[in-house]
Amino acid sequence: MATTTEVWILSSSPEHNPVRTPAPPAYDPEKLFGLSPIDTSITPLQSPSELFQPPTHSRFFKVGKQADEPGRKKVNKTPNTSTNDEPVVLTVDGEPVADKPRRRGRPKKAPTKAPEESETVASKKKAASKKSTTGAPKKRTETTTKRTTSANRTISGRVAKAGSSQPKEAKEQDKPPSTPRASSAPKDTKEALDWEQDGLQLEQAMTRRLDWTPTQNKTKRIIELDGRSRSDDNGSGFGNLLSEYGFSGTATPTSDYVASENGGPTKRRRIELVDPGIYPATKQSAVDVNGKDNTEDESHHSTSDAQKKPKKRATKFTTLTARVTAKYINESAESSSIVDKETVAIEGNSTTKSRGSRSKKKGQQSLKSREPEFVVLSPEEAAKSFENQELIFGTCSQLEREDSPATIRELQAAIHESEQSMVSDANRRPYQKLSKGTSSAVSRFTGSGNLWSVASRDVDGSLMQVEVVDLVDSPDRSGPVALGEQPSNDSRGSPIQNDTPEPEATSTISNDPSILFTQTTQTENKRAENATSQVSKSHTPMPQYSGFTDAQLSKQIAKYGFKPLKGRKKMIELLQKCWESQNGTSSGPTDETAQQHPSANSVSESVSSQSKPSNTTTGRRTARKTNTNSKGKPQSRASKPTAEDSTAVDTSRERTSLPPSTSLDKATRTTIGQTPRKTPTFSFADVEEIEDSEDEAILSPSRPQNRFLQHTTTIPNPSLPTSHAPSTPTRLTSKNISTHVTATSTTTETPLPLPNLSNQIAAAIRAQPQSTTSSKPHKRRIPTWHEKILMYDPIPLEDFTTWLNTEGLSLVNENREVNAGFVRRWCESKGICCCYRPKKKEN
Amino acid sequence: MEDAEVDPTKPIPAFYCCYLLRSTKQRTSLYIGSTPHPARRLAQHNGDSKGGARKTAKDDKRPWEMVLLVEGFTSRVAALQFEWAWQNPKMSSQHPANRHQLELGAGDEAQGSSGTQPNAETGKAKHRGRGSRRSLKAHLEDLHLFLRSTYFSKWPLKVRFFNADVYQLWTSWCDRVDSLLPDHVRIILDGDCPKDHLPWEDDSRVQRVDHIKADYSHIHDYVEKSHFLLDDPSDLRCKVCQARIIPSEDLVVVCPQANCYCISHLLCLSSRILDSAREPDQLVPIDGNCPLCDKVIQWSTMMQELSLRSRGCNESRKILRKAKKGRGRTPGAIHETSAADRGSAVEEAGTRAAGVESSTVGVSDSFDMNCSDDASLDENWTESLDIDIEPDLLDRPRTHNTGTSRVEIVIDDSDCDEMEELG
Repeated sequence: MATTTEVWILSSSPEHNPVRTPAPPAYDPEKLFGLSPIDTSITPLQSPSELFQPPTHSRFFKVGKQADEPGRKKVNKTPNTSTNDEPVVLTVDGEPVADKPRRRGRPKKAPTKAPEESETVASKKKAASKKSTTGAPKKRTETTTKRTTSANRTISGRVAKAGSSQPKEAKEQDKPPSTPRASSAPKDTKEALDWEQDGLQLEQAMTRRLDWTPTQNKTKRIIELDGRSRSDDNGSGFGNLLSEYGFSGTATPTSDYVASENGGPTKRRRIELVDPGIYPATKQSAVDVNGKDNTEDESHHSTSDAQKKPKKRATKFTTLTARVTAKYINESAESSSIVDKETVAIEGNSTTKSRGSRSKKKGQQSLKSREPEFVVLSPEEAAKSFENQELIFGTCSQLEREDSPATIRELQAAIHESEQSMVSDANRRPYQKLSKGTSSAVSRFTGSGNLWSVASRDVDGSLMQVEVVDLVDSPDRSGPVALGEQPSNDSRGSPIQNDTPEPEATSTISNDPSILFTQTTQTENKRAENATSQVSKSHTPMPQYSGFTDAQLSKQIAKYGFKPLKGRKKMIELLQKCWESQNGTSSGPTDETAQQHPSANSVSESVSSQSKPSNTTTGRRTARKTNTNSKGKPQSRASKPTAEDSTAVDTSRERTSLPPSTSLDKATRTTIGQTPRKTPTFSFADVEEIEDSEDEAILSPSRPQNRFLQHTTTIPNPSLPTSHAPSTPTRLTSKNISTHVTATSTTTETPLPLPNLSNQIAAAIRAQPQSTTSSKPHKRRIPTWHEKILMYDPIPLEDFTTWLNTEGLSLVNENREVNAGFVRRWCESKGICCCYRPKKKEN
Repeated sequence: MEDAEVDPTKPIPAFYCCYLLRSTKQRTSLYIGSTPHPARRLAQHNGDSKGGARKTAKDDKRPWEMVLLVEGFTSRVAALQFEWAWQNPKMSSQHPANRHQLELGAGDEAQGSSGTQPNAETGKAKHRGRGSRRSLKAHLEDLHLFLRSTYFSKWPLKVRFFNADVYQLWTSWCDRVDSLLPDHVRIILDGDCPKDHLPWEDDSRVQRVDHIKADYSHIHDYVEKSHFLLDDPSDLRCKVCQARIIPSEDLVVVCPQANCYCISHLLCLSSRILDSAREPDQLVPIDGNCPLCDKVIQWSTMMQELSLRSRGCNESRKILRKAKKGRGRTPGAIHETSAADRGSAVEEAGTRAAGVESSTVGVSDSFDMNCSDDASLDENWTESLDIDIEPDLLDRPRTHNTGTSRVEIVIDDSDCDEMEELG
């Protein structure tokens, strides 16, 4: 039923035609109420004469009427059109229903609508009749042929249906089809016929509704019907209906038609038809419509696109995201052409604005061009198109990975380019850069690898592919840092432009190399002096968020992808965390803050400094902790530990979506491996705040200290293996499983392969220092895990896993975490008896 | 907490086995269970003592016979896991058919737990009445398969056949299966099985289930030897790393060979054995050569002794005392009231169980009591670890005929007994 109503709306949709507006409301309720009841009650009222006549004319059924019409218009049409029309009538459920109400309501609206409707009808007719129409000849021919075929099919099936569906008039109907054309009868008869048809159709529709399947031609036909009925109204009721029905000769008001079509389907329709390019078959039919209705160029345009499409499809993978987002690109940019080239859309982005205005102008035309989308495929064609389309189901990230095997090379190239672009573009405003960077980036990444870019959006809702690009390619630590360093390293000497005054500049905190330095912007004014002196080595300092206005803050937050928070304090906090996470906690900010606020940061400072030399893990851990403990939203985000790369837990990146995390990891890895160059000397900014230092101070000490102790092996207390477990926030739970999984998967992909995790576990077990007993003299010291295993102790998986995550794996410089399931599999692979703790005990 | 629950665990049980029970009247009736004390358990099944599984309670199937034992489990948990897997081959994660699922559902704890974990609650609910009435052959096939599985194949297990026909079935299946059992899995032909030429057969044959020694008696000498060896205040050095050994602090392994005085660190010896076996990936050796006497030594045996020495101080003390005093003791354990170091309930169970063995029990000495019955110790030991703890064990009324010297009530050996009667 839904389809029926929609169809109806399609043809008559008021929105686009102001003139028509009055009509629809009247129809709708009627439609809704009852198809059959209204029929019986209403029909008799309208034209008494018709009532009497039906039996005789009923035989002619639709065929007779339709035959008449074509005959009137053009003789040659007849065979095909008739065949075409028949299926139309039959297939469309809504027709009869729609017709009935219309008739009743018509008289009121008739004057205004009549001409238009007739026009539309005419246009429809045109479309239907191959030869009569002047426009878009070749396309049409194709369609017509198609139609005929489909029509034939439907016809065959239809007879049976009709017979079954119509109890009363079954006799009449069954017979008539044979004598359709012969009875191109007078108007009276036609009217009667028409009425009859409607009635019949209605019932058919009712029954058919059960097993209805959309046919290709549906849309057009519906329209025809509408036109018919309206034309009736237009004339003096039914008498004129048939006579006036047909090609009126007036130029087809393409705009009207299109508008109606476009507006009609409303949201639902649009959703269904995603990317026209995916259904080549559909396109053609669509093109037909266009050709008739629209100006020639439009049709050609779309056709050309359609033709292009298939080729492209063959090579490119289409993701769901791409399909979905394609639409939006459409809206902003020009209609179908851009849509079709969604992958290319990135480039198109820059042009988007210019086109946007244009699209507005065109408005209707673009609408027209889109119209074809609403054509419903016949099942066969749908199946065909489905077979033809190259869809791969999977997360976009996966697809992306697969498509870009040469990640490293790309990455290097990207870095290189970013460096250069940085130097040259330093002065520009971020947004400009953004666009520019985008284009360049696009050229680099036009490959299907950038599917994510399609989905990424700016704050304004416009596309920004930049971010995505960054994810993969930019050095993970932090965009800004890299930015700052690189120029200096390059000795090109152009100091980083920290001076972009606008807060907005900071907005696009994307990892894209081009945008990297954006964040530095805001503090520039204040730290200009410092910057100049130290620019050469400067880390971009954290912008002094406290100096921002609330509006600015919220803007900033929005740029990180968070929803605006209420408290200013919170916002600042959040921003700081975001910034920190982006720039890497371990390096810049900590030291900076530490120097400025020695007292506050001393702990964390020492921690970081100590831990760093030994290995990077500690630093990362602290970073992770801070994230975890941050309040409010950041917590939730940060608390999903992105595998091992806690340092780079880049909120903005996370925001972009989890899938990228894999790429993120990769990036992290590579950079870690590649960039030993980071031996930063930090510049002071006038940062007065203690950024997160409190958190660190509170949270971090336990672990780092432990670590430190362990390293020196001076553990004063016979630390039980698991003793640390409760204290550590990151206690492994089943929730981490997913994380772990991603981690491992990531690992496999990582350019720098990490040692097998199971080997790491074994190594960790072997590396566990033997605790020396002291406290209880006569009691034996607690055996290590290795000893327990050797002694066939059943290994409690929870404890063992906890130990591994808190201590064990860090002994072998392993940052990854394991979950109980993994540990269990590991144990079983080694034949180590393991078990979960009885649940009772955990109470 | 681990310290409290896991570590001061009991020593490795002297004996723990999974058994295949078959009705002598209805030969198709089968039952899989596990027990630290097969003789006692068989008596339960046959109604000679309380505590048998319900499924085995029907008179038309009694008496039952144990046709097959899988022994050598190093903990009760291990035995239960094996038992569960054997009972539910379709669900066991060790079953190759299920293996890939487990791998796919990586880290899925729930799924994983279903594998080797006989989870008391869910397990019961799930499997009750589900007893696939499988044939003897099917069970043997499963057994063969599990003995080959990654997990169980690394355990020091032995299979003991008591019935020739079962063994024949087994061999026929072994011939058909294209893969062999791991080398270390010994097949012991016992009972009426034809004598085989297997080297270890003679000394291990016991003829009847009743004769299986479910206590530490087989390592008494070993325990004694190691005790005296380590008691030596003089300089003790690890034969592997040559470092000094402090018996009270280090975990020291003593060669089980009677005349070998090799002592070494646990870790040293294990790594040495593994290295020589070229299995550096493994963590637990199965057997190896003593660095001193170069004889093949079973790791499990050494661990049993070590655990007994390091954890079961009572048991070892008892053994030692026994060694001093000889075996002469007055039979007939009587009511035991003294508070043992273990839970009282446990003790009780121990006392009760003690009767079966007809070993001597010290009247007032808890140590003696404990040492006399090893089976009880086993159950105590697993108590803290075991996944499915029988509620019975804790709830059992203490006054229950403790006075009788013979065992009336014995703890169910496994939870799954009741629900799993096969055939």
